[in-house]
Amino acid sequence: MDRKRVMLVDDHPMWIDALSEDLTEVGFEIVAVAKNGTECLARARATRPQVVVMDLQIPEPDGATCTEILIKEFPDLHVLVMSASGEREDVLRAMRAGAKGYLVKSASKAELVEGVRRTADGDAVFTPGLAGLVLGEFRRLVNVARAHNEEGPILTTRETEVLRRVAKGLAYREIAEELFVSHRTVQNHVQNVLRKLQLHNRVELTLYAIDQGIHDPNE
Amino acid sequence: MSPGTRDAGTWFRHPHDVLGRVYAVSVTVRVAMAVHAILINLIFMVPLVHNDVGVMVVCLVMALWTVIVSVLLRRPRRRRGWVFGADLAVTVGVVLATTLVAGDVDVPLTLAAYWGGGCAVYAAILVSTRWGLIQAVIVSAAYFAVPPFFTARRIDVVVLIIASTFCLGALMSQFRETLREQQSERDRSAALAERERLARIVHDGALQVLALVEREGPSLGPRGMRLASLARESESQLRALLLDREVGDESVTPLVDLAAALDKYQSARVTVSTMAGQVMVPRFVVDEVEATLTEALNNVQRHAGPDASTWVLLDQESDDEVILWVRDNGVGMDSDAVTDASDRGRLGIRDSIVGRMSAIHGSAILKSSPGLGAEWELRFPVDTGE
Repeated sequence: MDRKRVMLVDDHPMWIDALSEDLTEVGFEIVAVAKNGTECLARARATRPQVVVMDLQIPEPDGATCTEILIKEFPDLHVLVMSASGEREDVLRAMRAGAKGYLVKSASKAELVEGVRRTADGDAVFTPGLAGLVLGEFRRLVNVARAHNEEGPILTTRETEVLRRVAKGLAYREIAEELFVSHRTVQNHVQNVLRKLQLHNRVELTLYAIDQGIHDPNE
Repeated sequence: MSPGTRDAGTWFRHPHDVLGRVYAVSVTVRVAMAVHAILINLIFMVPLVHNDVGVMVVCLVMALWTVIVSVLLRRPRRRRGWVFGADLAVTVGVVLATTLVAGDVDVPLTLAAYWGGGCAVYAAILVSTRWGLIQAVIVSAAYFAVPPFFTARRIDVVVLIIASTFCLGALMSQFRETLREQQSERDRSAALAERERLARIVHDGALQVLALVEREGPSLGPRGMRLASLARESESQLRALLLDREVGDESVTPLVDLAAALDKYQSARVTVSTMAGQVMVPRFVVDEVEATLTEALNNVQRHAGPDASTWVLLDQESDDEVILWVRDNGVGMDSDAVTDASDRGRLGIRDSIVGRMSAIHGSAILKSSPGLGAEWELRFPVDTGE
């Protein structure tokens, strides 16, 4: 089995040590670490990791900006954002730029490892807090669009239901049971929400709509 | 010097001169006074005085000196005593030269006319009111020293010079004071911003350490467990402090941000999810909602079991309604128990939660089943019609 190549970005060495120990233990390969934005960009370009675990509060350029730059350069890169004191706007900026998920640093070891594993697989990693933020963000986008007499990125009823349940602390398994769908479907809904947010960010909603028209939108 | 940028000054104004605008205006006025004096001299005094050369020389001196002194004083670092002294000397010279050039002929305003007040005004603007007034008095003495001495026109001129010097000087010292205050205000807020930035770094570092203790603690045995749980408490307190978005004086602002008000309920056992933006509602609505939330959280603590966690979600479906969910993963209860408890007024359900929601024209629904925790759905209108 090939080991996923991970880069850790954090300005606190002790955090990097702890995290790299935990991740190596479960089979990830730490190909680079960086303690500021400049190092992060240079080392990511040099080592081409598959996953970046990104702290938002690092010396310039900050984590959200690094996420924007790296995903523009390497669209296949999976970024998991982590922060200790998560400024809402920074978190949203990183998510809009294409980060796969967000965890607070106080998450347990198991949650962190699981988060990285899911990010590596390309799945979205949502905390309840992030789900609440994203719900609010969609409402804001719709209002902005309405003010310009345009149609904003709208969440489907199902997506809203799923996101609200995530925000209310339900696990994907519990959500699947409540909504009578499969675990994978819940996962897909969450993924879609994130994709919509990112597409809107790149003003590619039109392309997305065409894409949706070609593929069958049924679950 | 680039003319495009505002801060670069103009062809005349020095870029780093805070008094630049005022100085430019006073230069314009002084040049106008020089032109006025020269025209009066050439048109009316030349025929009267019969000393064409003398009048022309005086006019030439006024013109040249106006240009020289104005250019010299353009740069803030050249605004030195000797320049103002020279200005005063030349001005007094021009005034007194009237006697030499005109002899006994009455030149009503002297050959300097109103231009004579220029040096005092420069000193008042660029140095201080006091130095301006001293110059004004010396120049006035020169005006009176020219025959026929104390005439009504001379008195007019002198009063005008002293009065305008005083007014401009006083205005400028006021202006300087304001500039100084602004500067110190800017310095203060820059210092505050820097302190805040540093505090953020320090707090972030502290959060990291706490998170690490929380993570690694449990692997260090019972004492480590205790450390970890202490770290968790401190961490959530510190995080709540950092995320505190509530600002403003309650007594002055009628509307407050509900999202920010709810943030503070975040703790180790309570996860609060809100939007990044604001939901502005009247203070009494926030008070009712907070009281309801407190009651709901108390219920969780009392009835849901020791391991229950709570999630609070604030969302909206339309602009005029807010939905607040309070869900716990505790032991839950069956519907009979809920009705029973409600009828007997226990659990704070009837008065504290449903009652408070009705008071703000909202509704409260409780869903619960054994083993699956309980979930409140609170809906209430918010007035967006402003």
